[in-house]
Amino acid sequence: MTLLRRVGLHVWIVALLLGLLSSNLEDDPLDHILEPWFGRPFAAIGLRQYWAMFAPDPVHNARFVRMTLTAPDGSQTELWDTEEPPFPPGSRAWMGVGYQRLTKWEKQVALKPDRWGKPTAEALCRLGNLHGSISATIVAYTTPPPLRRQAGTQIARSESVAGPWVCP
Amino acid sequence: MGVPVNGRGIVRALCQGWLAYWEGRVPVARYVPLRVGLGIVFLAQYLTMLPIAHLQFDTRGLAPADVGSSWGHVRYTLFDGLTGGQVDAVIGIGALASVGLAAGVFPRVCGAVAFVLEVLLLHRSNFWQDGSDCLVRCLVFFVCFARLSGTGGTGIWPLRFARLQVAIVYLATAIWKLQGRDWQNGSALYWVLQDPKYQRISIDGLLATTAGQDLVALGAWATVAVELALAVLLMVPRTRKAGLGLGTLLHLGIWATMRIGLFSPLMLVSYLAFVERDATARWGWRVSGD
Repeated sequence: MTLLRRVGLHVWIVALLLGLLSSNLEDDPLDHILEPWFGRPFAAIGLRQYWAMFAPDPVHNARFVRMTLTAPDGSQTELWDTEEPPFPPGSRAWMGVGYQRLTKWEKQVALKPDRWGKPTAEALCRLGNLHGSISATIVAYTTPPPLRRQAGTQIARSESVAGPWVCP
Repeated sequence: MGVPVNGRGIVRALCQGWLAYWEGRVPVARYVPLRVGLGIVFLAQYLTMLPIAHLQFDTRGLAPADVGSSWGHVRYTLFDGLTGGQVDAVIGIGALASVGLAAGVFPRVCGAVAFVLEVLLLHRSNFWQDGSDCLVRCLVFFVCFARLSGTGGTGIWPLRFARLQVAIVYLATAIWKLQGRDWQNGSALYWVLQDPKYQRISIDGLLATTAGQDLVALGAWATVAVELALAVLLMVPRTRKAGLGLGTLLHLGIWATMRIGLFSPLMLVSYLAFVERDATARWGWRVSGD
């Protein structure tokens, strides 16, 4: 290897190491220095990373979303129900993987229905050439904290409705 | 003994160590198992995009302004105008490129194509990806800097980055967890295992008992301890075997109890960066010592 190539390789290695470091520092003073030079280019090429799996704290209340179309004649059709997905628990493992992707988007709608419900409803209208209006039902499960939980205590289930949003 | 005793000697030894660590060479064959594994997982990831593809990427689906705004400083807009058939074509090309990567047909080109297409899809909408997508993308990015076909030698540094990336996953997630109240008081696994979204098997009966809650509290603390330990065990050649055993148990345990997509299989695939084929070894594989 020529000297120039060797120098180039080591500059590249150092840049990658600093990019990795910047990508994994959140609100750290060191990251404020590294971020513009290494963090942003790292993010631009799709290497930004965030490894907070179930952290700092896991979600306490599971939420699901049901999107329902109400046609001009008043009939109702369920377009999307993540609580009763096409791949229910117990089905083959590989089928569940596609469902996991849907839950990523569903999470946005469930947590901020006013922000994400309307664009989702309008997208479903456009993709399906639908007429009428679409509403989102947010299903929430509230699990009692461990120390207060007794045998037989049920996990509470509640529903709230957002929308409807009229198909454009 | 050649132990450096002055400052200049220490600096020279560190520089020599750095050069030896990053400039080493390995046979191309060392990358084959990891390349094949990553190609297969990449393919699975492309195929599982299909249920959300039109909602997320089609111009008739969610607008780029809705889903691309959280991306940050730079956002590529090349895929903002994709329509139905084009979305399917992009995913099809990505899937084919993943097959090429796994099969060793122009593997670097195929790896680069699969990588670039996924990055462009990510810039169109980033609400579909999870940790396994990010990890595969990072590992493929690093691995594609090595020669992936033919015979002879290639640089070891991409393999070292792949290993480092795996260790960072464990270290970063453990540090995040240490900041959480639920992981500190031991209730985190109680919440996770009761979430119907992730639950593969219901253990509600166990979780409703004090003994069961004590058990999952121990499990929560053990998870953080194991993740912290893995970051070190995997990077040190002498402890790598223990790390691979511990990590395999951890991910099989997660896979058996929770539905978190491709993450558990991918972590096991990433362990191929730490082993190599050896016809003389008992199982035909041995833990890499470099």
